[in-house]
Amino acid sequence: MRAGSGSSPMTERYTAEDIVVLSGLEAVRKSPWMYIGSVSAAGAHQLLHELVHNSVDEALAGFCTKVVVTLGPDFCSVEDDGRGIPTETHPTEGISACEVVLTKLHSGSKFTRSPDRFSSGLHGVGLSCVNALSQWLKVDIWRGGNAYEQSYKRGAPDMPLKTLGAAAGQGTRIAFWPDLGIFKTFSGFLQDDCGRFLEELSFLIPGVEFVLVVEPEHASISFKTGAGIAGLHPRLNPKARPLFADLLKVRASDETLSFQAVLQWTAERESTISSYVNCVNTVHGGTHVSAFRAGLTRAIDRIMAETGKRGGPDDHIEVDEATEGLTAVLDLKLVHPNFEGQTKSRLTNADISETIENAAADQILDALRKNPRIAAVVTDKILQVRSARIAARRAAEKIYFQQADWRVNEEVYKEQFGARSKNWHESAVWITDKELLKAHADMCKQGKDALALDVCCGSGVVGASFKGRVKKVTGLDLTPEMVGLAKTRLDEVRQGNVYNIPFQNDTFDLVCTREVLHLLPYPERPVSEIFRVLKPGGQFIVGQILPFGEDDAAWMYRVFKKKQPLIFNMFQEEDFRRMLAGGGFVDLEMKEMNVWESIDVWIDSYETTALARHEIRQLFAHAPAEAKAIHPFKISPTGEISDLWRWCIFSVRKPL
Amino acid sequence: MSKKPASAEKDAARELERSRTFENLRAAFSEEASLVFRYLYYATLADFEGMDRHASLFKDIAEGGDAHVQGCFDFLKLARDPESGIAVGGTLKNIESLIQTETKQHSQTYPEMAKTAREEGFTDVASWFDTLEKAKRSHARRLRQLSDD
Repeated sequence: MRAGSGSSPMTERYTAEDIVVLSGLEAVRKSPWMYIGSVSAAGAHQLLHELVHNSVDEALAGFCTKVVVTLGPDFCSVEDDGRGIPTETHPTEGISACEVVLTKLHSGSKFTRSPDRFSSGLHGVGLSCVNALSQWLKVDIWRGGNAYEQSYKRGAPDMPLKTLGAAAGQGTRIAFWPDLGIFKTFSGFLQDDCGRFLEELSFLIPGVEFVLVVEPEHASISFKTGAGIAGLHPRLNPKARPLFADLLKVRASDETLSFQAVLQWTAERESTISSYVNCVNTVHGGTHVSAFRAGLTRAIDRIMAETGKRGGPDDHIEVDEATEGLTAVLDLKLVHPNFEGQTKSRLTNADISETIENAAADQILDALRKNPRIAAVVTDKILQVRSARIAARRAAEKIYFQQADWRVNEEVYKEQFGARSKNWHESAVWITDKELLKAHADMCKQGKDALALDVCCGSGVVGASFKGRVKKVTGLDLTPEMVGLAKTRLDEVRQGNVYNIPFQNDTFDLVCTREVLHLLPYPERPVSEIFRVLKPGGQFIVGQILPFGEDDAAWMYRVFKKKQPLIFNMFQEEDFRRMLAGGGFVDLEMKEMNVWESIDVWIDSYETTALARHEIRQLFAHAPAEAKAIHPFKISPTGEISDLWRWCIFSVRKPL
Repeated sequence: MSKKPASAEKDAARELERSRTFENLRAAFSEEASLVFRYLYYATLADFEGMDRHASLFKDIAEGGDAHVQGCFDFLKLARDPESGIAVGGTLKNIESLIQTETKQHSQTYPEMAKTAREEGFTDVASWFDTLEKAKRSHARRLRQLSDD
């Protein structure tokens, strides 16, 4: 067993005296969700996971080589070839140690903190908790040359532990069925879920065989691999394009822990780190993940300095820069893990940090030094991340600087939208939403021979939606890349600035623009430019995302500004009406249309830093009640966010 | 002691109100209140950096700050609400105090701040103040509605 190969001596002694009793079981049946998270079908699966983890603990301790899970129509069993649960009479309880483990909460050898090296069970409430919540449970034990059995109903023993006589071998088999009075929606264990769970474990404990048997067909599937966590890595983010082929590896061990990690950088923005402590998935990370990230950042900082890619001695790389696009699996085996809460989603042991951080820093640095090609692609990626970050941060500053003489720095916009032009149509749902485009076009009241101008046209989709309704659509955009894109859709495209539209007075019958004015400081200036190039009686159609009201605007302002630092106005409906009227326009009409937008897609963007993405997710997770009351959004159980955007499409006219 | 207890209390309140200590309590109240939110802001950043122990200490201290802020107000309220100048009393009276502050913010404070920001070229900050102004207007309206019911 690799996990057990540390230096502390392992004892074979595992007897009744090692089982410590802390309390009883009634509480579990009264409030099951406190112990297993929920009483849904997922909660019932948690029972099975607890049993399997009990066997996994034996495997981690080096005493078990095979775990068999059998799913029947009305039973489920977990069998291992470990040492067998102790059957001797408990020194203080006067019943068999096995019965103590199955009936007393917080009992189990984990609390003695001696014989079992690494263990994962539910803080020691594991087996008794499963028993308490089972309609029936039957345990078979092979130990010390004998076979034993005992059965329970809803946690209470039918009889004392019974010796069946001499038998060869060792191990434990526990069969059970969840109490349907508690798990009211449970209708059987899902084969796929169980299979995935066992396969994951087989990667985390290489060499141990995990078998899933389905009855009555007696179909069986076996998971056993020597691949280790490298086998888990490809599942992290299968769509991501890796920057190099081979995984980098980190290993560390001392008397209390054994740590390993595999890692790779991808072309993605998000970092995906999957972490396990004693085979339990720590979905919220914890000290082991923080230490690893810190060590990795140190290595990157060093290699950037060594290869001359760091600005100066004080220009250190930040954690979120170093980990952008990182995919990693972390596997920690630890003697005394401490977790936050019963669900064990976050590790809190602080004393492990130094070992893990140093190992990650030294070994990753070493690997990068030995593989200059890998070092080059990784450091180039980080340079890219840095420059995007700096551009995002400076965007606003540059504009402020330029404000002094009332000009706008075109370069900032060119840089940003030029970079986004590569996947412009994939960068948000609204850009190509057909109904939204049609809603703009439907506002058109011009004749077939009208001349139209699409201002800040981007890829030209808005202007193109007017095709067939007017004679000619011209586009205007600041960014050469966007001009190139728009040329495929519009009759003519010019490169130019909306603060100084390169056309004569009274040229067009129709001007349209969409979701642009909020990006421009002093938006009344482009509005008056649009007024100027329109013929008298000409029409201006403008679409804009607006808050639902006064009470979601401050929250939306923060969300939008974090996504896009170039936002200068969070218009509300009254502001927008006032601005158009102030520009001399008349006959205002407005149409509203709500469109769902994927926030995950929207924030996966060049100008949005990793920190800003994190903050945006937090803003949705903790949205104020007054905003939620008027602004619908959805967060899926897996964390994807959909936000309802209120599009307001205005039509105004230049007076005759 | 010839004074009635009620007027003795009034005298004490008047004395507190005129004191430098009242101004100090007011300053402590604002500083402690703003410190709570600085802690919470930094905790979010620490969370992002994976600095768990920092984040959790920041949050713990912010939580404790609640007592520090409210404790200052325990004394201030003996005299009056330091922002509105209205005595702290029953909810129907307190709502007046809140309406007064929200109204002042949306009719005076934020419009002036937005104007300055525009003059200085910080148009996004100006838009932020506009947004706050409208939020305050909404708050004042909702409070008034409740108080009229």
